[in-house]
Amino acid sequence: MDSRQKFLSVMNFDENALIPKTEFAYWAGTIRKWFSQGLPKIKDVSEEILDPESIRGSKPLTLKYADEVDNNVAPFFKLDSYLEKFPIDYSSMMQSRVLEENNEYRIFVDKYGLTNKVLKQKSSIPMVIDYPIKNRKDFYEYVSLYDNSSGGIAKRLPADFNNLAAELKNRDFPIRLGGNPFGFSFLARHLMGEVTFMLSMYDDPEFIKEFNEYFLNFTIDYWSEILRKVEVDCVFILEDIAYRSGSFISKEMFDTFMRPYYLKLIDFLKQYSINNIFVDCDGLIGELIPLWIEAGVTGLFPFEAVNDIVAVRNEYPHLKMMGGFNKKVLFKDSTKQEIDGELGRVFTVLKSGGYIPHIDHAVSEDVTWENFRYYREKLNSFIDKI
Amino acid sequence: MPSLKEIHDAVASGNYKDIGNLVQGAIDSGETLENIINNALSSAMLEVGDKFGSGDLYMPDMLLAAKAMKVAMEIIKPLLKGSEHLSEKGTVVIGTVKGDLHDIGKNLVITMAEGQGFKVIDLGIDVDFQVFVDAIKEHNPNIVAFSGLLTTTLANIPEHIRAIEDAGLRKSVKLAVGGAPVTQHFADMYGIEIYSPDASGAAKEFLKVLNK
Repeated sequence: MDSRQKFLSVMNFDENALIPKTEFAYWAGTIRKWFSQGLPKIKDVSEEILDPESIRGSKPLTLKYADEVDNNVAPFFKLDSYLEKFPIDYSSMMQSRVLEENNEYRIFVDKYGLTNKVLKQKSSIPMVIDYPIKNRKDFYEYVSLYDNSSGGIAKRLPADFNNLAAELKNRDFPIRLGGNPFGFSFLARHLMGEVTFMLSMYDDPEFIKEFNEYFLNFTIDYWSEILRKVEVDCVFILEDIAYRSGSFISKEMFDTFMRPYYLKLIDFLKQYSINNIFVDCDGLIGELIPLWIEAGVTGLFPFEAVNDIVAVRNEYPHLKMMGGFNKKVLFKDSTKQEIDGELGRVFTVLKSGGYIPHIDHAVSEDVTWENFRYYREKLNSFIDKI
Repeated sequence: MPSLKEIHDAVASGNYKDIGNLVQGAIDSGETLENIINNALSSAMLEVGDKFGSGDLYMPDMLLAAKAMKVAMEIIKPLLKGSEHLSEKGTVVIGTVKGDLHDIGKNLVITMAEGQGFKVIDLGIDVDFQVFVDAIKEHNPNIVAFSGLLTTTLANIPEHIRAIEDAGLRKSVKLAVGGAPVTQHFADMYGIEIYSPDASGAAKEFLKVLNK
């Protein structure tokens, strides 16, 4: 079985499924640190990728993306490819422009219309200082930049789309559609900021509904063009709408502002026989899980360890999951017993299927190579025995 | 005359459209500013914070209450000439630590702290330790609060504290820390006086420390 077949069989709860041995992502800085801690170097991490940026645990869709994926850890442990993201562009495609620049910083507007500030003195990720949508009027102006015709959508497809689609027919790794920034709260927050999004739920609820209706239809138009030619294995809906103590929004807010759009999107995905529909949400998600399931979601990622994966599996035996291993037990001062204890939790869930274990987010720099190696070798060995 | 309870309830329910008239009506009828602040506005924000902490209210509810509080204070503040102490319980300098770009938690703490009458100086995200030091010198705060979501950036907090110590400012401020990976143990390890697992609790802890 190749990585794709393993992914599909596990997510289908097949009795004889082989579980993929895989990791979602690493910080570039983690790989750089691990080289000095014992990870054999096959290929350097590109200098253009900053330490907190991600190196994906998947195979690259094409050579164009080869620098953004892991070339060192996977060969060492003979890991399977993680789900690779099919490239999407949800931006308004406006021209980027610099507003202000001096020796210290540069302020620029990106293709989403977000005003960013980036410091020049150090490796720094841009920080958003203004959003393009502050009210309904801004929203109408913003979406007038979108062209949902076939010609307009074609501009959002990879330049070599037809060849790529043909190549992907014979792939040996799974791919997903969706994810950052697509989601029925995340995209709105991305374009209007947290406060405007959340206050608008009360001040102008029709605006939020209209926003999600617009981007639902846009998504259907956009993804139809992709799905006609590419068979995807999974869909991601990015929400990140919880924190460590619970959900940011209530059931009523979910039902009003998100559920109707989930239902329509999932109806559309079913036309393409897509059954692996995952929500990507950090934080404590217990009260959101039944709402997502009821709306047609079939899986969760990255299943941060603040949630009890064993209890969730017991309560929702058909819910698919990816992630769930607490990265904190791999930090410098952790003991082997702590790592074994955490492995015990994921082993319990592994036996019941529909689950791909990996660290519950991108592997950060405070995970040591020694602890990671101990965890990964034990996990691989357990998977081999199942 | 609008009662203190009506004002309290308007803030607690996020009724920012009516709060202005209610507060103005109470003032016009002779209610003291101190009573309005302490027995209606601040108590309402404490209630909102408690309900958020216990999961009975959600983030949009809290933001709405904060907006109502802001409208009320815009009416009250110009009338406080010489009595600013009635509304300002202290000054908090806050920022997300160096290397970290997350700000939802920090912004919630700001909302709650302002709701309790603190003057808050927001240094933003990815804040270098020297910026904290400069802000302490400029604003003379009672509390300096570090926020961080990433486990990796928590490692920068001792460096921030050292910079404050080296500048001879440590004894003049109380330190606070919060964020998803932060624990009471972490706070204790570095002698940080204030820790709360959530934003609503943080504002309460600020009050407790200043009242000691």
